[in-house]
Amino acid sequence: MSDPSAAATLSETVNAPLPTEIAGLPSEDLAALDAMVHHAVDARAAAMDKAIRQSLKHAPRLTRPAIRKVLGL
Amino acid sequence: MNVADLERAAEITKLARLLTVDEEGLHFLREMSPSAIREFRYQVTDRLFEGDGDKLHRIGMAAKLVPAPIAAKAAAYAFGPLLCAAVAGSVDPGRAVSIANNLPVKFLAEATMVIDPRRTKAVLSEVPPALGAKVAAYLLSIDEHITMGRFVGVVGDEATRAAAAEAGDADLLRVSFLLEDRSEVDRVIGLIADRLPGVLRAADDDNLWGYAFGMLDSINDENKALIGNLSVDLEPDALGRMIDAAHETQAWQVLLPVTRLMDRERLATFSTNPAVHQPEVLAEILEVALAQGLWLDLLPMAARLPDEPRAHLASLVAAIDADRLAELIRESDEAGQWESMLPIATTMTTEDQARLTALPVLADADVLAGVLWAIAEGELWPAALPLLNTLPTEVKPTLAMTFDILSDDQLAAAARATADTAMAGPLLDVALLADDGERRRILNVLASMTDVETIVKSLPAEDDVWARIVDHRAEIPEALAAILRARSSELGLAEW
Repeated sequence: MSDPSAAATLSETVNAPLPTEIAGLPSEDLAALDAMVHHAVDARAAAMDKAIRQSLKHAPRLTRPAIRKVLGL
Repeated sequence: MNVADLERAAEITKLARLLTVDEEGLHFLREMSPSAIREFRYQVTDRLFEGDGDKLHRIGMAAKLVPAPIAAKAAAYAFGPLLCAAVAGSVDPGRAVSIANNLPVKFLAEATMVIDPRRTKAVLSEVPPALGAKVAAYLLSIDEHITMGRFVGVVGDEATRAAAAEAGDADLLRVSFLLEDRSEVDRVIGLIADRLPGVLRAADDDNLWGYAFGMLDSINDENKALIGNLSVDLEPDALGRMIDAAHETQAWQVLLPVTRLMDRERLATFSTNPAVHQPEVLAEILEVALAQGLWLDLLPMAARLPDEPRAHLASLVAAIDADRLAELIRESDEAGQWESMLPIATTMTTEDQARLTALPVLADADVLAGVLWAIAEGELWPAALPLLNTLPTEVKPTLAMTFDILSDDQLAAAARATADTAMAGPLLDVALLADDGERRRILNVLASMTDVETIVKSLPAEDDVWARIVDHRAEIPEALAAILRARSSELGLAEW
């Protein structure tokens, strides 16, 4: 059974009006998709932050301050 | 699998990779249209990039501050392929290619699996052919046709050619079908044109017709004609298997428009392949043509079917309800398709022909003129003349008024065809209904024919036309009148 509030939640998560067929999914499937999108966004943000910090280790010492500044660290 | 199943499977794989979940976790999308999954995937991609926006920009700036080999080292050890794919679109294209040149091929291939071609087109289009070929070779070695599809449509022509050189014919077919940017399919086909015969053979050898139909569905008419003609050049058994596959995967919606674009010789070969003649195939072709608005795509192929399957199809057409049939006739007329429609009408049973000719649309003078012209131009008189026997009496004067579109030679050809079809009476009966000037022209044409005696001798005694001849005897040139009188006397009819 499709649930307008579950569709609205997922729509808010992706920040766009959902394709009609996606919006018509049962509420448990919409909730599952919403959780997957949240997890992907969070995981990517965490991985990106970690990668940015680690990348400094591979930069020549003399360039690190400039890189740190550009990266906003 | 049909085209939609293949597209859906590819879309689910791409979405699962984007969400970093197992495909099984998206099982509830298995009934959904591929276009809906794709649209949602784009939304999720945009959402991920929205979250990264500022960071990606900063990383792009930082990549300029270190030599490319060092940036490559950081990419490989700190970012990994997933994040590098995300970052790629934010780095200056020239710089990104320099970095890529310092990365292992396996790493680049893994990044390509999750890259967003919409955001990285500028970078991918700069990929050197040699590097593109290496990445392609790796991706193909692990059957990553979906990724090749994201990659090939975006890289430049030379890199595409270099990548194609690494691919087998079946690989090329899968990749062409799976191109992320479908608007690039025609460009890619142009680049691999010399491989297309092999691609079609691979479709047959590996039973990949679903991919071939999907590719056909995405290309322009010029390429549809090219591939359609090449498919007919396969040996007859292979062509038959393609037709069977179209039936099994409900792909006539794709294949019918292709048949219309084939050259005449190839279309004739296609239409005479026994696989098309199976009653269930003909029924489905007609059903698809009616449901999908492909009537005009069906006609050229239908007209070239051998007599027996054409008669079967004609019987199915005759069973269409009158209003719909009238619409189809009007559509055929407006498209100038009587040349293809007539071979169907002429193979109908007499009863079906009577139903057809009784339709009000066939009482329209313009439509009748179109029919008459197609018969004359196509020299279809022997097959078409018997339709006169089923024409309602009240329509005959309208038909007679259209005879003025025929040249003298065309009139003579019509008259000559009556000798073998016993249709001299019905044709003369209609011709004598023309207005005075046209009637005199017709009679003069008949009188000038050296073989008019043969035609007159085919007039039977019981034909009603004799009464009409008597009505117009004053207008008949003497040479013709003498032949008519002799025949009348021979049949024991009253003096006139």
